[in-house]
Amino acid sequence: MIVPMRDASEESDLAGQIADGALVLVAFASLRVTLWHASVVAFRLIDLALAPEPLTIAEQLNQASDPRWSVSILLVTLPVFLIAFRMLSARLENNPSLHHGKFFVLVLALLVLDTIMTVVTTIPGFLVSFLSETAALSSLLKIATIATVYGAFFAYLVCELRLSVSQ
Amino acid sequence: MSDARTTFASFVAALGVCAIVGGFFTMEPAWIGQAQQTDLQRQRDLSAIANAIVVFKHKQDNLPYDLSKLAESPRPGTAPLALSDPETGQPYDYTRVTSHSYKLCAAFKLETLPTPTAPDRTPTRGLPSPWTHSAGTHCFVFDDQSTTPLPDPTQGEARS
Repeated sequence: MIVPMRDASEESDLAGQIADGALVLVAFASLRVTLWHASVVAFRLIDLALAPEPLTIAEQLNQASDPRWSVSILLVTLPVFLIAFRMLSARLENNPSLHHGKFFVLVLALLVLDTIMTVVTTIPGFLVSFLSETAALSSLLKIATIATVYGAFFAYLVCELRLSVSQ
Repeated sequence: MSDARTTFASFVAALGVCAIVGGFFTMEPAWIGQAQQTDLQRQRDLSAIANAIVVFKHKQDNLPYDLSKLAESPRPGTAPLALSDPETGQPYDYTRVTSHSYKLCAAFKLETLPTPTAPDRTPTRGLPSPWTHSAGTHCFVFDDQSTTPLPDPTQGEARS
């Protein structure tokens, strides 16, 4: 039986691909979590700013969930994203094969799908509140927040996908 | 970095920093959570005292003249009554109003938060919980048959 042997350059190439794959996953996972929790904090700010009538401090502070979790998560994921994204960008510029690799394109495509699903499942809930006029302005602002945050993410992903396909 | 990546990374960085600053700004101070817990304990204590008074009334056919009588009365299978404030240690204020009613007072840190009301439950609006209280010293009036306070006609007025 002939066992195919890998030479040193193939092994280092494989290690490089795994490292690139891990970098892509870390960058986009931290980005996804950052966007979600930034939106959670934005919703809380909207709720507090648009309280329907004058409330005591205790009432105002209890209008929405405590943002400690979101802030703690953001304190971790934001620097992780910025570092990983910078490293990823450098890798993409130095190694164009990574840009049109199947794994990178697959991750981008999955993120596009995830973004669409997030928007499609989140916005109808706010639209119901908006149309029933229970919290029209706050619902409108929350829809605008989702549209801005995930719209920017979607535009970036499409831009990156275009580059990948065109290369 | 390409322009699109630079722009997007800057957008996420700005969004994240704003969210962190905004989150710190809107965080509930720790003392509010502690004060809510202590107020809840005060309410539980008053409820337990009212319960003990109902039992006392059934046994003695009379309301106690002070809370120490209540502590002396045996209540097998129940936890010892907390007759004083969990924070200050001051005894709860008990006053007989008539031979069939009495009032219990406690000093609350915070005003009771309104119970969330769904839009389809509008009939319950305007009917606050009998345990609704303002911040500061608040007295609940009870009759000798019930462990929940009687509706307070002065509810909504500021007290201190």
